[in-house]
Amino acid sequence: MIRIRAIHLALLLMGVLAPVAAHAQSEPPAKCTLVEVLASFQKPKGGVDPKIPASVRSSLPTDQGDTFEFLAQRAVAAARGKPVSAKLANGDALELTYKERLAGDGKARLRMGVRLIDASGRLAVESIIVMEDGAFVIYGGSIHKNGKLVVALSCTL
Amino acid sequence: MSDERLKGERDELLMALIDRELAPEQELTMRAAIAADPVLARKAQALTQLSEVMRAHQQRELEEAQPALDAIWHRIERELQREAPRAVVSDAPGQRLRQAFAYWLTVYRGHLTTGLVAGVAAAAITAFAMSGRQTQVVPPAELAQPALPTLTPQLRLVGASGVDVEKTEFSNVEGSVYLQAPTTPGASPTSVIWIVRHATDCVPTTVPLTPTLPTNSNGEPI
Repeated sequence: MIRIRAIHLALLLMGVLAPVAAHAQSEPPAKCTLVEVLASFQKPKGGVDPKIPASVRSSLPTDQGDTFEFLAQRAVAAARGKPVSAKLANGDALELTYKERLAGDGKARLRMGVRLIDASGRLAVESIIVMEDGAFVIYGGSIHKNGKLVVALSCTL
Repeated sequence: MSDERLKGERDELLMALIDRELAPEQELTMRAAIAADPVLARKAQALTQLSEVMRAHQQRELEEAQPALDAIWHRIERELQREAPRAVVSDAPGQRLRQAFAYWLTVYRGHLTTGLVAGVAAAAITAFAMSGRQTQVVPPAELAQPALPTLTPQLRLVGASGVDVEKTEFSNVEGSVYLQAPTTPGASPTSVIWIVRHATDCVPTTVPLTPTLPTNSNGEPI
């Protein structure tokens, strides 16, 4: 009798959990874009590298430098609940975790966990952000070459 | 009118006479009555003696208490003199103004403190109410100590940047979370999470609370 109840319970749990798991697997990953820029003060001023995407140019921290050099741009897909790490130009790593999609009025809003880990493996920044589709957030300040590394992060579904 | 009532009224008049509270006409009437009535005269004499005894007793108590009262008054005067700042007048107009301001500040510091506290409270309420549009900054320490973990308070930036920073913790570094003003007109500000490792790092600027007016080559507003 007990064995039959256990089997029923297992079937019930499978019935409940299987669709949830299937939904999680079918949910598209968050598509994130990382744009790496080197910010520094130079004489004469170097200005803004034209390779830097126009959407990022207006977001650059102009108080952290007068010269902005484009370093790299990459796309990172973050599946829900699974951290994905991107190596940065100075050896640091940016770890992204897509947590959930929030119901919004029109634009998709994503809750993301972002961790910045320095080259020696120590955690430097741990943050949780909610981003609108297409919006940028800047992570920066790590030393790189003769300036500071600037990472513009944007995510969408 | 009964005899008892007449007697009562006469006793009241007698006491008023001894206390010198009667009108002149009433006083003359009462003195005539005392002269005509030996019983009333004895009663008046007894009340007079009783009144003198009471007055003497009060006087003695007052005299005994006088030193203590004097000491209290001296102490109050000393406190008043110590607390009341003296306005030193100087011939120099600027110095006189400064002294007058210092005197005013000292006298009204209690009110000033109350005003400041009220102002700060109002500013805090306003900042809370407008938290969606303002910048929150964790100022970096003068000297970063990478060896020690540094956790900032929980910050929440909800701005026009399209990014809501729900939580930020800095470990082993110092950092700031702020809104970066856009470099191009019409663009949205950007949320910035910035690591400050060294004391020589710049302190990130924040979105100005008041818009900067365009100026001409002389620095004058257009």
